[in-house]
Amino acid sequence: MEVAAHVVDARKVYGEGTTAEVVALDGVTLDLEKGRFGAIMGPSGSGKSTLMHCMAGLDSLTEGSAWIGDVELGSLTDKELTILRRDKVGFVFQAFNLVPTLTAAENIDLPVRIAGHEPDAAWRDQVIEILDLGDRLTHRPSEMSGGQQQRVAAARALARKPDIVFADEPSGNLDTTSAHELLSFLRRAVDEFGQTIVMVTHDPAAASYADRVVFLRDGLPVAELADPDANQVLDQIKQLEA
Amino acid sequence: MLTISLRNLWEHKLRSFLLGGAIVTGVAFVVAAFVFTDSLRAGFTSVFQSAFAAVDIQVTPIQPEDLNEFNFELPTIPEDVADELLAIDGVEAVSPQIQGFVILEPLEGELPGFGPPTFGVAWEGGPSAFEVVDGRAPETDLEVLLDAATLEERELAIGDTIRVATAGAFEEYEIVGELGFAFGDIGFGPTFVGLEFERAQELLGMDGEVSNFGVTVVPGEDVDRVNADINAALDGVGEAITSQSAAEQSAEDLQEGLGFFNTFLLIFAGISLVTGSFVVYNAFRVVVAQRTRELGLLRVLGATRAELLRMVLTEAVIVGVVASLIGAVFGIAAAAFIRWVIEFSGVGSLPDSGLVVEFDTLVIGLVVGTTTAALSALIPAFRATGISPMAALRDQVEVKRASRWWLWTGLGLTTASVVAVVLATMQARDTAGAVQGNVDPIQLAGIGALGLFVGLFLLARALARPVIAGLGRPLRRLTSVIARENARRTPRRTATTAASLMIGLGLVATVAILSTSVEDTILEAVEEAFTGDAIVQPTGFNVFSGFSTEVGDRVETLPEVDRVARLTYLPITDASGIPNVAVGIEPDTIDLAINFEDVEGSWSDVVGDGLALQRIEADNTGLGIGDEVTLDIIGAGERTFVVRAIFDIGGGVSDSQSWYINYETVREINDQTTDNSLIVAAAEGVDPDALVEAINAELEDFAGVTATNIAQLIEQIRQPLLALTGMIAGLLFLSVIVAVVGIVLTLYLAVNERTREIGLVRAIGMTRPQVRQMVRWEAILIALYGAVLGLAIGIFLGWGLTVTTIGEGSSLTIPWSWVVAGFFGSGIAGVLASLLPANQAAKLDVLRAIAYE
Repeated sequence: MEVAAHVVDARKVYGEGTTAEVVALDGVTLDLEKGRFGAIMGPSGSGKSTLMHCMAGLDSLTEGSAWIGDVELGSLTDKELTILRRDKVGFVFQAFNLVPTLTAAENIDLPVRIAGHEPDAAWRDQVIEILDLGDRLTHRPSEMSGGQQQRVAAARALARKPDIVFADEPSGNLDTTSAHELLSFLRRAVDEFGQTIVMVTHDPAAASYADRVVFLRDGLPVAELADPDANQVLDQIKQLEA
Repeated sequence: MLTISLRNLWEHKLRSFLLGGAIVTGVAFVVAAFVFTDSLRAGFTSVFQSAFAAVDIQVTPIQPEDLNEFNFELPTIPEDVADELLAIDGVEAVSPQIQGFVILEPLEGELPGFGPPTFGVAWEGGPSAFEVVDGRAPETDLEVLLDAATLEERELAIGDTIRVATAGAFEEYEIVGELGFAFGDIGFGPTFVGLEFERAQELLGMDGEVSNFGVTVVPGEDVDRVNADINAALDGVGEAITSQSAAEQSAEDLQEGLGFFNTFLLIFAGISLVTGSFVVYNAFRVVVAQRTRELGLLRVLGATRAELLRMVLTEAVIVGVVASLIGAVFGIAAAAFIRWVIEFSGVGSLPDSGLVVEFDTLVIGLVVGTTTAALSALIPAFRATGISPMAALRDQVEVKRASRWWLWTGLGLTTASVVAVVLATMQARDTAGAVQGNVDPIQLAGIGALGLFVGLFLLARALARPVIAGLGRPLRRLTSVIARENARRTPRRTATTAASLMIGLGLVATVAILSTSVEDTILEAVEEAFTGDAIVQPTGFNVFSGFSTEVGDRVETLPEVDRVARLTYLPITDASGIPNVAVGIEPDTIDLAINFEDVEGSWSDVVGDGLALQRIEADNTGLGIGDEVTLDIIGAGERTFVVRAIFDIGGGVSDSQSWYINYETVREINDQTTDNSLIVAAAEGVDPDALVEAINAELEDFAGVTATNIAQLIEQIRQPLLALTGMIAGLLFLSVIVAVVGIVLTLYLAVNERTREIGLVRAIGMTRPQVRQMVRWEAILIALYGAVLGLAIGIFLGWGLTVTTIGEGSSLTIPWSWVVAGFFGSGIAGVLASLLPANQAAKLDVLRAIAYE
């Protein structure tokens, strides 16, 4: 199976050489396959967010290599990384996902317009329809609910048909219903449009939407589940904590 | 608590620095103003002290009480007073001195006698402020000394010749030496020409008289005592003053001439402190809002509201004190810089005395800066500390619905001010003055102007969103669209930031429009009032000195000339007790002399004791046809005239020359053979330039009498007004500098506030140059917003004040080049202001920005 992104022997150390040295990633090797919905789980401090940041080109590794497609991120300049993120990667963050002064439609088009391109209208309309955002397009973020805001963020992440979408606790700030709606959409994007999504979460219910769940502890992958339901995830977590 | 204050300031060094920047600018202007003036005073005093060092006491003629600006004769004192002086106990030596106006041959392309006055001087032995530094003293009639600056300017050397004249014809003189004077070359001062003593007396019409005496006192004698004795002895003939007092007095006088620099700097100190206080106010609002949780925590821990208030204010005071000290240093440097500019630009060379920094100057700077900082921080501090402890600790700070008093106040004030200005113009137009009773229209317009600035400042918040949307409409690029929305999202902050430009540009535009309009109105009036084709006048320093009637005789004979109207002036004290002149006219050339209208009575009756009066003067004095009026003629006593004609002057000119009598009457009274001005009508088919050329060729050997036509006359009037243009440019530049400081600070705060947002767009692919662009556009839009408001105020007030001050017949001239320069200059200022904050934004670490809390 084709790989959308992968890391080899990834190590990330904060405050290296000081007494406060923290090893966030301790030699992780991981492949993320194309066209699949992956989840990375783990307790606080397990390194899951760091792993995502390093794989997405937001942060650099101390040792090892991170790849998106066949591009090695460590070899890129800041400008090349920025353009790579713009053209190949989509992001959904836990909070503060939208530019408050822009309308929903403008937020969705943001990465395309930053690149100086015109949005692909057909694809964009399709995304907007599935996300049920049609009547919200002229609204500003302050006029939308949290769930609606996250759906706009998801639409933005997909608007450029990126190689891979990184979602950092996308449902972390949402109520159960909104979370379900958002995650179902992410699921559909993978199933119906062949998108690749990787999500970092600590919520077993959220993880159950994924095809594959990787568990991290102390900066290392320690377990993996395929097509799990929430209970299986919960069991796995208990097992790891025991 | 003080620890917290200090630590806060230290933690946010850059922010504190910028916060202080606003205060620094204001204090710098204040300190510069005082240091500059104090240094000038000290410098001139020491210069004049050394100038008069050779002389202990100066004896000058008593100034005549009826000294008249139209009667420009320098007072004199009899030569033989010297013997009286020598007889006084303690007097060592007495040196008679002569000073009077002379004219040097004009430089290429200049009219004779223009520029600073030229004095012919002479002294006889003894103590003097003058000396021969090279060559020898003049010994015969046609020998002169020139000062070094004049020699250099004219590229002359000892042995060369130069043409010099008094009222009569030029004569050729040989330069026999260089004249030095103890007060050195003060650049903008007069030129001195050294003459042989008796020749000077003859030339300047001082037979047996001199201008003053320099006196030295026997060493060891009390100068003040001798001075008093001289004054007692010379009762009524002359007066004595010690060189020390004279030096102080002269320095004071000279410095007054440069006083406008002081005013200029203080105005700017005011503007920058007002705008600086907006900046501080803005900054503290943001700073305090960001620290709401910290303040809440301190309250939970038991700090009282008063303590928190004190803490925030302490920060403001520390910033104020430090910034004032830095501002004082900049101010002293600025004073030095201004000096340098004055010397470098050739305005003049100032005495080198070092910089005088009075203790008072520093105290004033410190008090002004600190008070401004503390007062501006007061409202935000008061508001923020009023928050309840729990609300502050909760994640989201509840936003109180903002009161909208400012909108209504602003709207009301702006409307009222506009109405006031419009009423003032209507009243000024309506000469009957019936519109608003007895309110002075200029006062009304002035109050309106002030109100408009305050009103629009308040209203600027409400206008920010629509105006910036309009300004940003042509913008298409994403970064500029985001910038536009950013500028619109905090209208209050945008408005206060733009206010500094608004005030600066508003004032500058008002002054620019008013001055050009007044200038144009005057010129138009001159054009309309001028009936002849050319005017022959004395040029230069003493336009009232008159010239020989021979000039008129010779002009009349020229084939290019049709007719000549002669005017001669008689110095008088008029019916209102004001020094003035009565103009002598010939009734048969009156149509050429004055463009009069609406004559009541008849010009042909203005003979003998007949008098014609301008209508405005008739209205003032209540005189009518047939009434008698007594004029006090200087040098000839009182004389009674009968009003025979009352008239208006075309073009609405109402100059000071209101009294007209017959030419022959003047001759009879003063027994002189001088005219003061000739109005010439060209012969058929002769154009004005050819006419002027012919007359000037004929008058070549008459110094300081020149023919000009209307075009040249207007050019002459316009010249000095150019200096004003330079000053306006300076004002514009300074107001832009002040505004830049404000924009820098506001953007820096905005970038800080939007850290997460910038992180987000960076994460999803915005490059650093794009981020910079985004901040730059915001700065440009804020600056242009200020510019638009300022220029709108300026154009409106320029119109209002022009009409109000000039009234009916004013010609409004809007100098569009200034307006355009102001607009685009503001945009450029915005770009400059954005450099630092844009870099700050571009450098943000994406991950930190996302994780920012």
